[in-house]
Amino acid sequence: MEHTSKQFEIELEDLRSGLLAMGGLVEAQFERALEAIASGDEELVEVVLREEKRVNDKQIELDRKSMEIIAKRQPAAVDLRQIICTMQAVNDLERIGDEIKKIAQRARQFQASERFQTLRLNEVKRIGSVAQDMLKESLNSFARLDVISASEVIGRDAAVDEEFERIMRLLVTYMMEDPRTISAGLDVAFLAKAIERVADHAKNIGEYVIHIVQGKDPRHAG
Amino acid sequence: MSALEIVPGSSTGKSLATPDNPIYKRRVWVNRFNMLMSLGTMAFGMVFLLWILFTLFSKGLAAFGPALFTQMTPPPGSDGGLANAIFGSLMIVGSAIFIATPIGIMAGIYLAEVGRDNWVAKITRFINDILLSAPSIVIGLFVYTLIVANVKHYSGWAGAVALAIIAVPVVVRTTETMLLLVPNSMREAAVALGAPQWRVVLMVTLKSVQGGVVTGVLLALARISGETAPLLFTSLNNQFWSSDMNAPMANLPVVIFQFAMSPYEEWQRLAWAGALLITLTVLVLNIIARTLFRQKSQ
Amino acid sequence: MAFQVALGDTAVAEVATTKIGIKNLNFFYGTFQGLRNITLEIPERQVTAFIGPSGCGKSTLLRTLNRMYSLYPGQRAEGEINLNGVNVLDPKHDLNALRGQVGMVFQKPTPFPMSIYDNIAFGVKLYESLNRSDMDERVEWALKKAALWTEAKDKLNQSGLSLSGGQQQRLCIARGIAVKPEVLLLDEPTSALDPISTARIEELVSELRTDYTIVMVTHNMQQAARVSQHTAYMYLGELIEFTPTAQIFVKPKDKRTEDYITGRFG
Repeated sequence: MEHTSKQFEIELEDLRSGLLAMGGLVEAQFERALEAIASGDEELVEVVLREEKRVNDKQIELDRKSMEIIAKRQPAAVDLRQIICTMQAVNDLERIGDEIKKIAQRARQFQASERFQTLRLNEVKRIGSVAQDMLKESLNSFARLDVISASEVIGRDAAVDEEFERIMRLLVTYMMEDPRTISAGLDVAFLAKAIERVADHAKNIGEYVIHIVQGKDPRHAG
Repeated sequence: MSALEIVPGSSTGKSLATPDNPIYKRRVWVNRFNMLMSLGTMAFGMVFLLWILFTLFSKGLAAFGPALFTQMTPPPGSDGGLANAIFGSLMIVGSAIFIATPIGIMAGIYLAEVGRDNWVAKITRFINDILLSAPSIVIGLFVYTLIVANVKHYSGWAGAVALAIIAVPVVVRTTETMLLLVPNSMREAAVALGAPQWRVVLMVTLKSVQGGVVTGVLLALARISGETAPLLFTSLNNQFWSSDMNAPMANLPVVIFQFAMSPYEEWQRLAWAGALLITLTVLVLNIIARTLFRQKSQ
Repeated sequence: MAFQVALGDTAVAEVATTKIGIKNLNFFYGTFQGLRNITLEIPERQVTAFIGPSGCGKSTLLRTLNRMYSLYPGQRAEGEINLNGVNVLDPKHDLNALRGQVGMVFQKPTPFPMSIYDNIAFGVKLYESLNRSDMDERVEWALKKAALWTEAKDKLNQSGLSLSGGQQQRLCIARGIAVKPEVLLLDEPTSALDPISTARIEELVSELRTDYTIVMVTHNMQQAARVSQHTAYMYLGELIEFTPTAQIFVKPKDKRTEDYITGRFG
């Protein structure tokens, strides 16, 4: 059912589409950063670093809008949950943006080290595309308030964590074999960690969807 | 909205109340015409009122003086005053109000607070309305057959009873109307404290409209102080000073009636003076009633 | 999270004893049924708010608690309202005594046409015969309790009507508590008041909660959220939901409640 106040409806819709726009921005950034790791394209890195500012601006804009709605409408129940969760999701997206920035910066340093080329191309690409999928799914579930796909996103986080552990084990083996690879190995480790963090934030967004729809807080449930 | 859309160009946001709008113009003229007509009718009424007052003052003031209040009504052809008639009127009207006020207020309370819409209240209200508009001469005749014909002589008491019967419906009506003006929440607030009904009525509702109720009594007083017809059949008249309410009693309206019809000039002058006296009394009562009511309703 | 706070309040609610137990209450205005099968337990020394759209029966329900409806022929209630375990709907139950136990304050301030002092003494005199100094003390106590003493102490002999709207309403609350009731019913007590007076009354209600069981009807949902511990949502004469307030405003159980409190009504 719609709100009696059309203006309120419009404001909420505006907030929702603002969040999705910010999500789209972050998704594109993530795509570029992963691409930059694979290709070592310096220009792509520059684009990512430049675009990061837009993500931050979006965060400030959406936080301001949320606060305005709270102040003006004193939302309750589902509206309140939606606005609070939107603010939190915005926060998560901004953090994803920060992780992406780190990934892009690592991509630049990577050019020098050729040693972990295959590892970087295969393993990082795999964990990256899972994280990418999760981010996309979490944003979609937020847009549709789809609890089922949100739970799927949450479930996939465990797989990403496992993947990360696997990469770490692999790296440790390499580095123990040949200490000269330590610095390059750490680069890959940081890279994987950043990607793993992106997946964590995507999982958070999935949890907000459940909180909005069902009113129960799924965080720290298990 | 739809009214706006009928007129083209309204979307510009310009007011439609311009002097050249024909509909608006017609309204202005209709308004002027109606204003003029009401002023005319008011003037028509005022002319007669002022005419009456002017005649009263010019003829009545001639006989006004201390003698009016100190001397008895004279035999034909000699000077005198209206002392016995004034005193008689005060006695009769005073007794009438004394009888009518408690009956009227209690009946009013019953109608507004207790009976409300039950059949007793409905019938009472109906009868009260009839009484309110009953010709006073009928009431005079009624009291004549009820009291005068039975005790076989005219009396001040009979006059007082007749006037009381005229005053009661006025008091009933104003009391009821006033009590109905009390917001129900006031009643509920008192009831919510656990107050029994008699306490609610006496200490809260009646108290909050006491000004209005007193006004009603004053208006009833004004109404009966000029009544002639009922007194003709009941207290009749008395040429002498009498304070015996069981005997015929002099009173202003009947004296005026008698003196005005007589061929004697002194009597006629006294009749004018009496008429002026009653008019002034009624006027003063009305003014008091109005100011009282205005103060209380603020 | 607010959600956890809500759970905390539920725990509190379970500890509180029931002051008024309403069981299968039906109410009729002539042939029209104003309340349908209401069952509700109002906890002691807490504020319970009734919310709902106009005509939902929230005021009707409030007015059955002190049987105010019995002023009007044709209105009747069926079922049970147990105050301290005694059914007050029993026709043999002493009405005036009930109203001594259950005080009421109305939407519009209703000071009686008498002095501030007498306004308060009026109710007290119905139950107690106090000497002058005891009565003075009681009037002062009630006015202090209603946070009106400092403003009114110098004009106790002036008419109650000389006070401002907000002060008049506090006078009515003072008048209500001077009788020392156990329950206080508030029927939209602030809907005729400005925001500052409203805030004062709300503050007062929160303070009075330590001594009285308070039941209030309000059109203002935020007010229910601010001052009550339990909220009942009513619609078309039915009780839709009765939940701890913190919970109802974050996650109501019923979809109809959610639609109403989020402004998706009608």
